[in-house]
Amino acid sequence: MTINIVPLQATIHDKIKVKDPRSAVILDSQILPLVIQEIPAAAADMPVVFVKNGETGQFQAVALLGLESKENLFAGPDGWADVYVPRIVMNMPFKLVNLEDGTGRLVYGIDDASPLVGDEGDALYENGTETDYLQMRKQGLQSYVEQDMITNSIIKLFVDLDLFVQKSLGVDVKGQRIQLDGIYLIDESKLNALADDKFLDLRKRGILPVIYAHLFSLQQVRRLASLKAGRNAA
Amino acid sequence: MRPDGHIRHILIVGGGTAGWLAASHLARRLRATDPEGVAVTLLESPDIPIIGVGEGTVPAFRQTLKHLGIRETDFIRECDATFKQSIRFVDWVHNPGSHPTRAYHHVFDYPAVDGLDPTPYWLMGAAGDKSYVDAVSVQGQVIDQHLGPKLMTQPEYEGITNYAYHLDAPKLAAFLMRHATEKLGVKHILANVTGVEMAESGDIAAVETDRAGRVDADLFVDCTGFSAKLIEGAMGVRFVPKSDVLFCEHALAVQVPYASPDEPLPSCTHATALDAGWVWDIGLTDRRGTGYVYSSAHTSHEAAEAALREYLRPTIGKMADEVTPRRIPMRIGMREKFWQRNCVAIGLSQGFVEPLEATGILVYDVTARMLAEQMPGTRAAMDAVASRFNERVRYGWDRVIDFIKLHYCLTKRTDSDFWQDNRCEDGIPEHLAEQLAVWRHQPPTAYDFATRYEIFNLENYLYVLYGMEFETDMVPLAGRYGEADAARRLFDDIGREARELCGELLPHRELIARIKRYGLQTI
Repeated sequence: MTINIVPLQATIHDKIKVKDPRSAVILDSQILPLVIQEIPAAAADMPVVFVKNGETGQFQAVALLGLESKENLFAGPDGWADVYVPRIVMNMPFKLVNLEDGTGRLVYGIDDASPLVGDEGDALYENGTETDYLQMRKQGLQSYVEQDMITNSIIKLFVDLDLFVQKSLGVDVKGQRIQLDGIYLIDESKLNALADDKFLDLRKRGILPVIYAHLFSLQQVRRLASLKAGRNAA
Repeated sequence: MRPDGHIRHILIVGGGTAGWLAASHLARRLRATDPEGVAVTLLESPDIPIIGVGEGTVPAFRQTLKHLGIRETDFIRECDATFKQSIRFVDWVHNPGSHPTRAYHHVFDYPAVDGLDPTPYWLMGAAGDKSYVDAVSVQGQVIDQHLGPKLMTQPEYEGITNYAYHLDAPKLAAFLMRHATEKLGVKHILANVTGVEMAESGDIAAVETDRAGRVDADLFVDCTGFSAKLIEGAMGVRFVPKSDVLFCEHALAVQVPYASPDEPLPSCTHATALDAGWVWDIGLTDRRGTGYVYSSAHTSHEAAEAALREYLRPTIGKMADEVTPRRIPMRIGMREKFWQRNCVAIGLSQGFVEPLEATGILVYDVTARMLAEQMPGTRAAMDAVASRFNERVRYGWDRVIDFIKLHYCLTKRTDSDFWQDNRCEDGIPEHLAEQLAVWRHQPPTAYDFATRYEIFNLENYLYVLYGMEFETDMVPLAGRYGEADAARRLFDDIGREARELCGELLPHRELIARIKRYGLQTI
């Protein structure tokens, strides 16, 4: 998949239309990053865990979509099933990019090469002015960037409070054991052992529902197993 | 000394790497932060600079940092540390230019023993023309490609390959000082020692200082460097020179820049043999630390300086003529005793051999921890503990000297008196000569390293022996090794694993940059 992000411009992009991102064909992502704010919603459908970014070693929250590398059990050739779709997908084909003019200014960009871009779907401009649709998408992008920053600071808080524990998740698929490594969870006993003021701080910041959603979502690993079993049978 | 004879206060005199290591180990183990624990004070002269050229460590130093509660990320950021995965010995075996193989690695990964000991099979030729290190370990190849030892996703102090560090010695001393005083409860006094007050018993009662008055303690740790103010000055313990075994007694040290800021960062110490000694070459992030260790009986100081400049010229060009090396006389050998009455020597005051295998920080670290873990509760119990300590530390130093001599005595070099003299059997310590006699007829085994206090073990000897092309006669033993096919498969697997690993690991310089930028996780 080639990615070619260019700054959005009425003069260039006035004719194009954009399809619903839920139709995006993302077959090979076993994990996708999440922002903290979407964890409760994602947790209702899929396991939400933490992994280390291979480039930086920093923790990030991700939706676990498959049991093997390059396996996404929630999307097929026609796009996503009727499940929660991570916002990083819902932002497609748009992205905020740094201008490479030395100012580092953020501008709205679009991936010209995305299959979502074409002559079907919603128009971005009408008579040279932005459509409501584009404005809505730009707002979505803006809030995503803010939420991503909040996410980083909350994950840093989890690290500082030493809440993570490494865990290997195991699940049976038709009698065959699959082991997922490199996964980190928030440790309930460490959470319970926090000093009262630290725990209260988490509650005041509204982080507790996120933590419990993450913990409950671990049960969804069995759902991945049954999706995989169903896919293998088909 | 207090009337009940309890050990409640330890004074360390001297604030270099050894002083702060000793203070940290003692404070950590004896709970200096607790009023009920043992108080630890370090007295440092504001006027005497530390020697500060010890820039190499061995993997055990990683355990020390972790044990002291230090974050690896902080250590790397604040001590300009880089990763060290081996020592690469250049021109130690053959006369320079006379042989296609110029160098061998002493790597930190143990040989891969996967149910099958590969060494005898390598000796019998089952690995073809692969060097010993490349046959039994992936690490030489990782180093040759200037790759780091770990992934960003690995926690602090864990690696794909085994590693130690190169570091900036004055920065390490300052870093340990902050950790020891802020976290471990060590009290820091800046003053010069002006005298030592002896008790009637012959113990040290206190030291007199110029600006902090009289400082008393129950135990005194001498970290005053070569001057050995307490162990020699006050206690009169004799120094046992070992210059008849190890000839190098001078170093010329100089720091040099990299040719360009993105030059590959080596993850090994280079030790290049010259006519009358060898040059260390250690890569930190922003500079190299180099130095010629030589025997002044075999070359003049002027010739040594010229040789160091010639060594540097291919990498730093005409700057080789502009740098000013610092000449450091070295006293090779150790004390007859290291713990006498209530005085213990740690650091250069205890003993020193040339820095060929990073033995300085290593031995000081090991003995400081040994001291901390064996510290008796009372003065009455001290002499018996001291006697055992002396026995073990002496054993450790004797084996260190064996191991350093091993690097020299196996040489095939004949191009200078220095190397000729090193081959001479008279200079080989008895214990080492015995070991070599055994190993001529069978490969070394763990049985040859019988105590728990060996500083260098089987694996270290294997890399040096067979890197130095030592010959073990396998002909009479061949019938005992019937698994040549399995050994060949093992050698193939190690080769394959090395190629895969080299695709995964980051360039060393990039790894250090990312650790400085993002930090490492503790889990």
